Amino acid sequence: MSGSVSGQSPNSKELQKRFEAEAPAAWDEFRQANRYAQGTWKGETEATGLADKYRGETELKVNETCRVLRVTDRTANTSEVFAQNPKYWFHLKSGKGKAWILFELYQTEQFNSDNAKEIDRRLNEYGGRMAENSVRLNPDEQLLSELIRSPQTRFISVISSQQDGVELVEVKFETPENTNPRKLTGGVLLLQPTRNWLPVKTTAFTRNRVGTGTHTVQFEYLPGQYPLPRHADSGEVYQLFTDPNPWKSSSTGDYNFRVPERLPDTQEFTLTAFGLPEPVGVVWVKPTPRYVWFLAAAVVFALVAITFRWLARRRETPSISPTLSGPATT
Amino acid sequence: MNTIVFRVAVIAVVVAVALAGYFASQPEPRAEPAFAITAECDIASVPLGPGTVAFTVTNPANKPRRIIGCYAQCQAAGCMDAKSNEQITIAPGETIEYQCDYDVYKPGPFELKLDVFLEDNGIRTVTLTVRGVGVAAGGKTDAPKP
Repeated sequence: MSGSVSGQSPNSKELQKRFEAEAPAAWDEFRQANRYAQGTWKGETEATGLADKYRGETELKVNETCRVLRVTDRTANTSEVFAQNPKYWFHLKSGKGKAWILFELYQTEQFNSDNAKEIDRRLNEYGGRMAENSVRLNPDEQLLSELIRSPQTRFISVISSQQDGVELVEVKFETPENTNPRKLTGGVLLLQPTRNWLPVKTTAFTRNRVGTGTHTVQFEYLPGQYPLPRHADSGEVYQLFTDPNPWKSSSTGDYNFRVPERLPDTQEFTLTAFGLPEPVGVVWVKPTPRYVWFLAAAVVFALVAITFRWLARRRETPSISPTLSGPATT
Repeated sequence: MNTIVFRVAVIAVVVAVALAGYFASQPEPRAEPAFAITAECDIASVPLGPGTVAFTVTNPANKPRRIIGCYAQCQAAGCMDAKSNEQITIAPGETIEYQCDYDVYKPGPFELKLDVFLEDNGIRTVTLTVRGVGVAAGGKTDAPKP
């Protein structure tokens, strides 16, 4: 990151230096520690023009090579599954109580870099990296560490503050040279330096050719060294240049995420896990056949039997020791 | 005591070898015959807009099998999708008409495709194709001239 700090006290400059040195590294460490975090998010969203509240639930499961995401619309009672394993990627849909419908299926050999990227994008879009929401900036999910290190980011102020006796740092920034179509123009991060510099609240300001947007998220965390979010409230306000009435949406949700001691088996990321057959030509390594175990058991029994037989014979054989004895004399 | 252990061990070995032989001799599940499917359909000249086309699917196997889903595709000339958005079970020996909706947007020759996922000794993907010529209201096809 670059950035000038205008009008800040020397203490603020020291704080900015500390922030720049510590925060991005702490966020990277947080992501690394929670890379296998998984669980569910349950929440609801309401928005201007939306007749009913959207009530949803998203379940994320990951291991070293696989991801599966189950998104349930609890208002419409429908579900979708997006899953990726080392052999293929698939997308399922289900209606009310109906069986799964296979909607898309791509085997790994069909992947090229473009559609692999597209698949990754869709998994992420539907919640595939929910566990690290707190170190990404809403609405475009840019990593906070990348944002802070970007030469396009300029700090306006870095000041310390307190909330309920907790030491916090407020960082105001702007990105005047951002050229993305939806332009992030700046924002405010309220961070906890004692807890991996995780944000208590983020605010982002955006602007595109039709209007401006303000996006806020407030987080509550679980205890722990690398605390995962427990609850989040977010809000968005869009103000069109042509309409005096803003469009608003708000969302609230509870996370139940953790890093499991044992990661789920790859079989849980396959079509079989959803009661469907595997694609033609896809063979997973089968567990050792039962007859191999029976043969192994037979060999063990045979060895035990031979050992006992040998021990039994040894006990039955009388010991012969030479003794001197002459004819009995009377 | 040892004699009893020896006899039990011998019996266990015999049983284990017999079971191992039984499981080793079990045949692999036999592959069922593949679905018979008419994957291509020529519908000649059709007016622009929506229409319906049917593909014949026969299950020659001795057990029921399913059409598990489909992946709808759109081309510049139009789109095609399955009428049903549920799994379809086809009884042994049964033939069904798999109904698809299409929509032709542009006058001229078109080729619309739909990937169907069949439970066919695993999931097999079959691409259904419908070909035709879209005709605008005034009879204009804009077909390329030979």
